[in-house]
Parts: sequence; structure tokens; C-alpha cells
Amino acid sequence: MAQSLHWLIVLLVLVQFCVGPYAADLPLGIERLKLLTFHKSVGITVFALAILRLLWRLYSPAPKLPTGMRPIERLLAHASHVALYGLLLTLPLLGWLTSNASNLTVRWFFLFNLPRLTAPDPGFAKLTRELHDAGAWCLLALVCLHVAAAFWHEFGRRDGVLRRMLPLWMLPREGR
Amino acid sequence: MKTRSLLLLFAALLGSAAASAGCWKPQPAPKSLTFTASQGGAPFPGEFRSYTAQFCLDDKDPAKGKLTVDVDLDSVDTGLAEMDDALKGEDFFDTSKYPKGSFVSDSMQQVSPGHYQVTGKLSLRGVTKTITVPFTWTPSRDGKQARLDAKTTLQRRDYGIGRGQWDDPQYVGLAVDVVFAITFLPVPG
Repeated sequence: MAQSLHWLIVLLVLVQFCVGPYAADLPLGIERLKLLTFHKSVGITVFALAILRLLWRLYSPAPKLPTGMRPIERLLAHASHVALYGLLLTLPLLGWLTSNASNLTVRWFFLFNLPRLTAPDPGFAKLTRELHDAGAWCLLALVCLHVAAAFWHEFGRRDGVLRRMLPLWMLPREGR
Repeated sequence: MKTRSLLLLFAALLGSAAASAGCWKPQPAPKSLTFTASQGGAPFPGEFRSYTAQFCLDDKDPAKGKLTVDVDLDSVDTGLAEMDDALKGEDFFDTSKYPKGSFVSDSMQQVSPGHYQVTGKLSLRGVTKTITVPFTWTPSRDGKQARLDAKTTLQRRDYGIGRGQWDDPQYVGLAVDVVFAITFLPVPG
């Protein structure tokens, strides 16, 4: 379950990084409207999946970090995971706020409207949009750090941390 | 002193005459002429900040009532400046060629006390169609103002609004709700 959610979120966040910056630079038009409508729906999906993943963690706690990691390494690992979850939750919220502050309602895949979180306010929309952009760059940096750390665990420390998150079909037979 | 009270009486008579069979002008107020379109399936509200209107009603003969509305389409305000510019552009209102939207009534009828129905010609972007709109007319007790409430749904394609790339009805909804919630003041005389 944790693995499926992890990789599903990875896939959706990748899509967001392709669609978001591309659509934001388009001139006002139907193409931008289509892509941003999609971007918002995917973002809300990520928001829901991140909450689901946190709830799943409560029910089935993540395995402990391997022994032999230095305290600073443990601190970094925990801090970066907290930051990753934080951004997976705040980026969609900031996008949602930006829409509402721009007098737009967010609709999830043409199925239902999300409540309005804030009244129209162009100044506030500008602020939340800038935070959304800055947050996205932080997420990108954290993802790089996260991937680098995963490789460090696999090829540097050889402690099997990466394998815990791989889907079963990717593992070599003896590793299952 | 006598002349003054006579004048006052005269003015009072005029005032009551205006309340029963007279003409009214809107009191400008924000959010009095609003619309709700839709984008990506979600509601997309806006308003026209500038319009003029005249409403004449004879309580004894409502069929003789007359309503005209002139909307300054350049005053469209959706809270999104770039969308407003697009709406004024060629694909939507094309305000450089068609700066006004107008409604002129042909006939009116009373449905029940305070409830009416007006049929008239709506012109938008060079297209004129006959529409019928129900409305309520609620004068205040002192007769110094009255409220007109009306709601109608227009199909944007009927008027060729939302052309070219914007035609896609999935992303730019066809139905647009228009709401009048206007306070009118009597026209003196």
C-alpha cells in the first residue's frame, strides 16, 4: 500500500512538473484552460493521496531507519520526509487558493466543485501563486535529494532501504 | 405660506403618481447586473459595472409597461483582468464593433401581484433575439424606491459569443445565467 501510493504520487508529481510550468507560460487561451483544468484536478488528487498516505502511516508505521546511521543523517532523513509531505500538501492548497483568489472555482475532473477557500483578491492570488512556484522548486530540489539519498543507501551503505520502497516486481527473486 | 404648502401638496401628488404609473431609473450599485458562465465545468461569475435602464409601469395596465436596458459591454468585470480583455475581444463581445448589449421590451404581462413577465428583443454582438424573462417588481412601502429581480439563462452560441478556440462547450459552458437585482428610483415628473 505505502509503495503503491508512493509511486502513484511520483507519477502524478512528474505530470504536474511537465504540465504546470508549460501551461503557465502559454498565452490565455483554450489550451491553457484545458491544461490548467487538468493540472488542478491532478493536484487535488495528489493532495488526497498524500493525506491517504499519512493516514496509512498511522495505521501501518514506516519501518525504522537502518542502524548505523549517524544522528545527523537520521535528522536529515526525517526532516526531508516531513518537508516532502509538507509540500505535497501545501502545493495543491496554494494552487487551490490561487484559483479561488482569482475568482475561479476548482472542479475535480468535471465531477464536482471544490469549496471556495477564499474571496477573490488579485493581490492575494499573486502571493499564493508566487509561493506555489517557489514551493514547486523546493519540491524539485527535495526530490533530487531524496533520490540521491536512496542511491546512497543502495550503493553506498548497501542497507536495503531503497528496496523497501520498490514495487515487488522490480526486486530480484532472492530479494523478495 | 399657503403657496408653499400647495407646492408641497403638488409635489406629493406627483410622487404618488410616479409610484402608481411612472418611470423608474436604476440606482447604480455594484453586483446589480451579474452573470455566471462556466469554465472547465466550474462556475465563472462576473458582472457588468456600467449599464442604464428605464422601467415604466402602470399599475392599472401592466401590459403597457416598458423596460429597456443598455449594457456597456466594456465594463465587464470577472475579477481576472486578462479574462476581461479576452471577453472584450473579437471572440466574445467584440466591444470595438459592438460596444453595447441592449434589451427593449415588446410586451409585458402581470402573472400575479408583484410578478411579471416581459418579452422583448435582446441584442448582443450584432444578433437580435426575442426572449421572455420573468421578473418581480417590489416597490418599497414609501414608494421612494423599488427593486427589480430577474434571472434568465442565455445560450452564448445564439449570439455568436465564444468563437474560434473558445467554442468548445466542455471548457466554456454554453449556458450563461444572467441576474438582475436592481434598485430603481422614480424618475421625477
